[in-house]
Amino acid sequence: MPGTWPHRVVVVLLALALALPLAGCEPLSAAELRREVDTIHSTAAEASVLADQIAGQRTKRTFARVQARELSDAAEHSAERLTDAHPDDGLLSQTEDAIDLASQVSTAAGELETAPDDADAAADAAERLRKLAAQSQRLSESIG
Amino acid sequence: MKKFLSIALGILAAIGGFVDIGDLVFNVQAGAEFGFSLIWAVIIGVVGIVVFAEMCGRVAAVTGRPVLDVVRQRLGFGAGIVTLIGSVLLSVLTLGAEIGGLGLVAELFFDAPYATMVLLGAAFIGLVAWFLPFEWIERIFGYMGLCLLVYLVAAIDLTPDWGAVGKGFIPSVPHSSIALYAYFVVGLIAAALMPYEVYFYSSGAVEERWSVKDLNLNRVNATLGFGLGGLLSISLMVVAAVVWHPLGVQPDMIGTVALAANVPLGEIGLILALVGIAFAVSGAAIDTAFSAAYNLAQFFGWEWGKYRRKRDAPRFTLAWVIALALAYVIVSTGVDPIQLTEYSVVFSVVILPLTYFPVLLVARDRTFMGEHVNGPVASFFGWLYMAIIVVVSIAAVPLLIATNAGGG
Repeated sequence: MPGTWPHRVVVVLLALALALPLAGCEPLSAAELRREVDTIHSTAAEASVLADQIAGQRTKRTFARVQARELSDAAEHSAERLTDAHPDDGLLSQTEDAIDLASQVSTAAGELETAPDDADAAADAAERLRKLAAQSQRLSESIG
Repeated sequence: MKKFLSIALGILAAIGGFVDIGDLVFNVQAGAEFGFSLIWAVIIGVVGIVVFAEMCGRVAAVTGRPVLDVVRQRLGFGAGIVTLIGSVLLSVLTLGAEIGGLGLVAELFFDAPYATMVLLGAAFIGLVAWFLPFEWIERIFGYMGLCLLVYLVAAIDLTPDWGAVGKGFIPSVPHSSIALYAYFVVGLIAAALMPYEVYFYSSGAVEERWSVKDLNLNRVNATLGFGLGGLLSISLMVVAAVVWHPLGVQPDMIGTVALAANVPLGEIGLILALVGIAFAVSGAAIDTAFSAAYNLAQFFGWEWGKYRRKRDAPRFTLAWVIALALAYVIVSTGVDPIQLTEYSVVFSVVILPLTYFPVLLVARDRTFMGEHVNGPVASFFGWLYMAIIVVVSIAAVPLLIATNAGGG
C-alpha cells in the first residue's frame, strides 16, 4: 500500500539503485578534463625521453620495451576514460582533441614497444611525441 | 681496527638500506612536481628518524626492551593493542607495496609477466628470510642497495642550479597548489619516519644483545646510517627535479624513477638504478615482514628472534610467513603498488604518535634509563618532533582526500 513504511523503503532502495549507476555518469568538468590532458602530456613527454634513449642506443632493450608498453597503455586508458566521459557543455571539442592526442601518444609509444632496437624509428617517434606533448600542453592551457 | 671496520660496514649497510619504495615514490614525485623546493621536508624527516632511532636503540640497549614492549608497558593494553593492530596492518600493506615494487623492477629487467614476477619476488623474499642469517640479510641488501648511489652521481652529473638546490633547504610556501605541496610535505616526512624502521631497528638491537657498551655504536649507526641514507633521498629528488620537472612529467611508475638515472648516465646508470631499487625494496620487504612478526611476538609474549632456531620461536616464524602470504595476496589482486605505497605511507602517519610518544617517555625516565636518560638536546628534539608528528598525523588523511592522493 502506498505510503506505508515497507513501500517507502522499496522506493528509497530503488532510488539508490538508480542513483548509483548515474553517479558514474556525472558530467566531465573542466578541471577533470585538464587533469586528464595533463596526464596525456606527462605520458607523451616521458615517452619522448625514452625514445631519445633508444635513438641514442643508451638504454636496455627489455626496459625500453616494458616501459614503452606501460606508457602506451597509460595513454590508451586516458583515451578510453575520455571516450566514456560525458563532457560539460562547451568541452566537447576539447575532449575530442584530447582523445585524439591520447590515441596518437599510445600509437607512438606502441611503436617503441614493437621495435625497441630501431634507433631511426625511435628518433622519428621522439620528434612526434615531443610535438604531441607540446600540443597537449597547449590544450591543457586552453581549458578554462 | 676490526671493530672500526665492522662499524663502517654496518653504517654502509644502513645507508643502503635506508631507501624503500615509499622514499622512491614520494621523493621522485615531489621533485618532479615542485623541483628542489621540498628538500627541507626530507631533512625534517631524516633528522626525525635519526632522533627516534637513536632513542629506540638506546632504550633497547639499556633496558633490553624493543619499541612495542615499551609501548604496551607505558600506554597500557588498550592503546598498545591499537598500536599493534595499526602497525601490523601497515607492515603488511607496506610489505605488499615492496613486493609489488620488486615485481615491477623484475618485469622491467626481464620483460616477463608482472604476476609471475610478483610470485617469484614473494618466493625470493620468503626463501631469503627463511635461510639467511640476520646479519647476512642486513649486509647483503644494505650493500646492494648502495647501487642507489647512482642517483647521487646522476645528480652531480646533471649539474643542477646549486643555488636553487640550496634554496630548497629553506622552507617556503608556493603561490599555488598549496594543498598538494602540503600533501608532499606530509608524505616526505612520513616516508622517512615509517614506524616499521624503528620496530626493526630496536628489535635488531635486542637480537644482537646490545648493552650500554654499544651506545656509541648506536649513536653512530643512527646518525650516519640514517643521515647519509637521507642523502640518497635528496639525490632522488634533485634528479627528478632536473629531468622531469621541466617537462611536466608526473612519475607514477617505477620505470620512470629508473629512466631518470638512464638520462644522464646511459645504460649503466639504468642498470645500477634497477639493481639498487630491487635490493632496496627487497630489503625493506624483509624488514617489514619481520617487523610485523616482532610486534606480534613482543606484544603477546611469544618467543621471538631471527637468531633463534625456527622450532624455538615457531609463532614468530609463522607470523612473518603469514604476513608475507597476506601481502602477496593483496598485491596479486592487481592493486597498483605505487598507490598502495602512497596509502600505506600516509596512513602510517596516523600511528606515528602512538609509536614514538611512549619511546620518548621511557627515554626521559631516569628509573628506566639511569644515567643514559635523554639529555637536553635529545629532549628538545624529541618534544619538537612529537609536535611535528602530531601536526602531520592530524593533516595526513584530510590532505590525502583533498588532493586525490597527490593526483591534484
